[in-house]
Amino acid sequence: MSQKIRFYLLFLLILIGLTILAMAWDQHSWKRVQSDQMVIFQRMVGGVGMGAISVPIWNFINFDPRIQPVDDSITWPIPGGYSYSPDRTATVSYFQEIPANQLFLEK
Amino acid sequence: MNKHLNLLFTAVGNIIRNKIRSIVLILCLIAVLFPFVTALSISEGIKFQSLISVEEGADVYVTMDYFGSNAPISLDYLDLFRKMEGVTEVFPRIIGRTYFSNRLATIVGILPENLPKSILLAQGTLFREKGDVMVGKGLAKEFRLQPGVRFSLSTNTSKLFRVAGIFDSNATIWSANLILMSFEDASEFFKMKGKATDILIYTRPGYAPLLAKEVREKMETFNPDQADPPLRVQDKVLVKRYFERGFNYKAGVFTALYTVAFALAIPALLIVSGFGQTERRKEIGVMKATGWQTQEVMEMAALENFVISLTSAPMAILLAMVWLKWFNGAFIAQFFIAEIGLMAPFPVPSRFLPLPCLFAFLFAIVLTMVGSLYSTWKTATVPPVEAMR
Repeated sequence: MSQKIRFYLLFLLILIGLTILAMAWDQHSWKRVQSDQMVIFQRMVGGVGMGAISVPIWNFINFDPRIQPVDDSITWPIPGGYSYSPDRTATVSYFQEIPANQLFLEK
Repeated sequence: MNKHLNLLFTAVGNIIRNKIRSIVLILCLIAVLFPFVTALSISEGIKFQSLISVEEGADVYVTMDYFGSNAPISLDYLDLFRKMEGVTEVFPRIIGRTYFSNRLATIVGILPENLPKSILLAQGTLFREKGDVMVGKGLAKEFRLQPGVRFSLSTNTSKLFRVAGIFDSNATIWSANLILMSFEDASEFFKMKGKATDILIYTRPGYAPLLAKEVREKMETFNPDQADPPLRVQDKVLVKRYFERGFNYKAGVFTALYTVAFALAIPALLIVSGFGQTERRKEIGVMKATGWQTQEVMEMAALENFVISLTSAPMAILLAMVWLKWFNGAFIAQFFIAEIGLMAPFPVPSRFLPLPCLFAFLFAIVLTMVGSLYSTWKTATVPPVEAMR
């Protein structure tokens, strides 16, 4: 085994070790967040925000479907027409209306 | 075992010998894997913050249902809900949107008694007096807001506000462009006295689904003359379904990034299967002429790809980590979190979980194997003289 091969394998080991260590550090840092400001903030406001968007552009559904579970931009200005709401957060999250049973049959 | 180790050393030797080919291949793989790892880690980071929002939020949210959309609910319902079994707390809340100059902002109105003393602010204090508000770091940074600054908004110019405090940037991504005020101020601002956007009900553990069902069933009791529209009730189970569907099933990350990844993977495949192929053919021909079996040649090529993938994947992960943690995802984060601009006003949430990182490695290995194994086998099965020609 030549010196270069030995050096490359050592570099590979260091690289993998460093990656594992960095990931472990990241996991640890997220564990501390649990009791941090995020929790206090969300308790204070009663839960705000769910999607990958920082403001409710067009409507609230992608920002927080609890506040507006319906993309009502499809109801105006042409009812049932093209949705004017761009799916801005579709890259990492995307909320759609969850169909709820609103049909009650009476015998 | 020695044979396999020797093959591994030969594979590493080949990588070192064909420097340009190996560097281009590693760079191509990093280019493919970097957006993939970045997107997955941001998605996991937002998912984590979103889960906190769900878990720390109310157990049941009640609003009115006007023509199928959420609508303001009367505060008269507060007492009705408070009397229900299993209910521990009931709060009204106002959430609306308005423009702060040309920047869209979320307005949240809560009861002053819900303000926790332990919340950390970047500047100023919690709101105490009428007209006091707390603003997000994004708004404060963009408009150079400081505690004490007074402003009014175009929705209701008669309502004057004073900045009491500025949120810490660590308080979730949704606080960046948020204006928090008292419930009373928010209802005056939106001119919706006696109404809330939603009523938040907190219950004893296990009561939420039962209570949600009860509220739905007792709507007629609350509203005997049927004068009001129906209520819309959302419990934590439904909210969790939104969370799961939003991040797990409907995550567009795979469609969007796989397209990019495959587009970028094409040059990598071309390099593996085409670039340096003449030299590669000669090498395989020499190996075969010196007594190597096809199986050994194949194993060496596979090990070479394995080592290349093992180099590229950790490099892509480390690069993504450095970019997201040290440079706060500058220029990149805006592709994954909407409306944040080139430089996010808050720490971009990113979480590097082992599984997505393993996927990145597998993705690299599949790409390199697909590109090289067939051509290697084809060369290794022809007579050495022909391969060396």
